[in-house]
Amino acid sequence: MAQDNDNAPFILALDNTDTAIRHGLSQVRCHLMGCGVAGDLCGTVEIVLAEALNNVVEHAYAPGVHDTIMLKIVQNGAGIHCEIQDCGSPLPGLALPQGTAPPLSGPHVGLPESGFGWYMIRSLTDDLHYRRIRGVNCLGFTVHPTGA
Amino acid sequence: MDLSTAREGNLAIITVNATRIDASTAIQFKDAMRNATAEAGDHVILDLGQVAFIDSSGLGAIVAAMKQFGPGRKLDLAALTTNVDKVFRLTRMDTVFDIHGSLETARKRAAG
Repeated sequence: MAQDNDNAPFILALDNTDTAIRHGLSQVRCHLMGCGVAGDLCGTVEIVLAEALNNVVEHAYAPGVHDTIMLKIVQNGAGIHCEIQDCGSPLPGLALPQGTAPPLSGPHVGLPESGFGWYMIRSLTDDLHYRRIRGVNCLGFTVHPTGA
Repeated sequence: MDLSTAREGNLAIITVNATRIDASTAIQFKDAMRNATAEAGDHVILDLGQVAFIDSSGLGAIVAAMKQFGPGRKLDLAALTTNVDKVFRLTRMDTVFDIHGSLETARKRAAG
């Protein structure tokens, strides 16, 4: 999707469903590639956005509740700044989860199948912040090219 | 999810014919893997060469597939694309699986 300049925000309104998130991520990738952002950085942004948006879909809403998640993306120097807003439940304790990596020790039968999301978000972002403003969850972060 | 299986002696190569294993397809992937591995031998190589993206749900589904494959059998991974490799390294799951750069490398190593 063409933009007049690289600093114009790219804004998407997404349904709170897995399939809408998947479609939105592909739109973000098209936009970033169109702006000349390197493939590696596009990939990192996609990983982080997938985790953050999936968290909203899975944890902020009761089953059957339909809502719209707002996503704003701006190029910020060499980085990509992202903001996500939703009107679902707040994060527990109104705070970002610690995001500690689940341990991988022990036999394979005990390996974790989940719990990596916030660890991945924290590892791949800078300036991660969360605020609850008038019933709206606002999550923001920047992804820089030097990510994992 | 579309998986195809090729038997080569004791080795089974299961190819994921999809570009993503994510939150919206993780359950289908797990179900398809259960079916595909049911009649596979003791050594399976999962060919991820077409998969351009996985999220933590997709990663969890691959771990689940390995666990349901059971002890005494081996599930290796091959041909990880850049972004998929990034997720495995970041979560250190690259230390849990044997990961082959390409299907050819995996075949050669399996043949000993």
